[in-house]
Amino acid sequence: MARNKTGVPELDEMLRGGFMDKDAVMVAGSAGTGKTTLAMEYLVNGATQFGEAGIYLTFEQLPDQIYRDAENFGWDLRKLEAEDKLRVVCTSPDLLLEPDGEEQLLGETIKELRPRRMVIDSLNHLEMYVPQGDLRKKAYRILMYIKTRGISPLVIWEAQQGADSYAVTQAGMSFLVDCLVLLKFVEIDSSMKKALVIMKMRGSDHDKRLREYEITAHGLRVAAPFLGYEGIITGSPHRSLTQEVAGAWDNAFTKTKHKH
Amino acid sequence: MTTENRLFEMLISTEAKGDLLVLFYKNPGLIDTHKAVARRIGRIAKSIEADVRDLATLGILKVRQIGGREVLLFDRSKDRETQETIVNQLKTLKRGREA
Repeated sequence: MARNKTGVPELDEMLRGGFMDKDAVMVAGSAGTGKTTLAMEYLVNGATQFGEAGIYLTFEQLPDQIYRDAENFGWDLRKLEAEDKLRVVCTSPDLLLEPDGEEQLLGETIKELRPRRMVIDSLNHLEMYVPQGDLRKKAYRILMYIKTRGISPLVIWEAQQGADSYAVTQAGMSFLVDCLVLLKFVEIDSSMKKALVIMKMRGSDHDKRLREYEITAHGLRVAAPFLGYEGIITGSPHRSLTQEVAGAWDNAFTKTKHKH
Repeated sequence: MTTENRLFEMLISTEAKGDLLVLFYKNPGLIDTHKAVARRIGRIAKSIEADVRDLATLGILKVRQIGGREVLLFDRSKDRETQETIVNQLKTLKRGREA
């Protein structure tokens, strides 16, 4: 089965080779977790390592800011654009929501570039322009437009770092996508860490463990799983019972050794 | 007046045109309504209408209808041609001054 590698080796390993081709992927997380970095890395690696052109559709930042931010990771987006491997498109969400908005905004670029990957940053922006309950319908229309053109969409969703961490989106958006990657801040041993978990991946096995990750000067790097902790996703991590018992035994033996 | 001269003069004829060109050079993937584009350069839609028309006549900007609204976008290939013309024009001016 065809897979779209992200180019982040550990994440591809977690995805058993990459995202499934043409699957709609959602990267969700609160502000500052690195959603845009991961999405951009997916596009840059697609263009530079796997020969797959991409489109980055943004409603928030002007392309100029995106070029500048990408430079910090060593990604020259202007060069990729000049080589017809990437396009950064910036528009207003209400234009995309117009009937035929997708074709008017993206049709020409799709014909020129023949992209295989597309990022939408972010679906939350559409929420401001559609009546309550219509967002899923509109998002579905947009995702279908992209998929039927042979492009694998990756959408960004800014989730609240809240109490009910299992409901990633209040608007029920996760139902629309085939794969859901959640990025989250977690407090472990009095320090703030970042955790990544693949919440769902239709039709494929995947790593279910929570993995620590970092945003480095070269992009996202996934580290080891959080072993020995429970309740990380719900926001109240504590050492698992097994770890507590192991710790207690260790402690007891150390004390006993000191006595002798 | 040569075509190159006319093009050059038209491009630098107003400050708003300069602002529009800078905005689209820096953000070639920007596709937005008159109103939104105007806002991005700190102006109002009405004040840039004539400049947009001029840039559209030159082919640097394209105007498209989306949902009954006029939307502006940058024509990258036309812009490359225009830039070459400008460079040649500047070289000619420099040579003229040196002679």
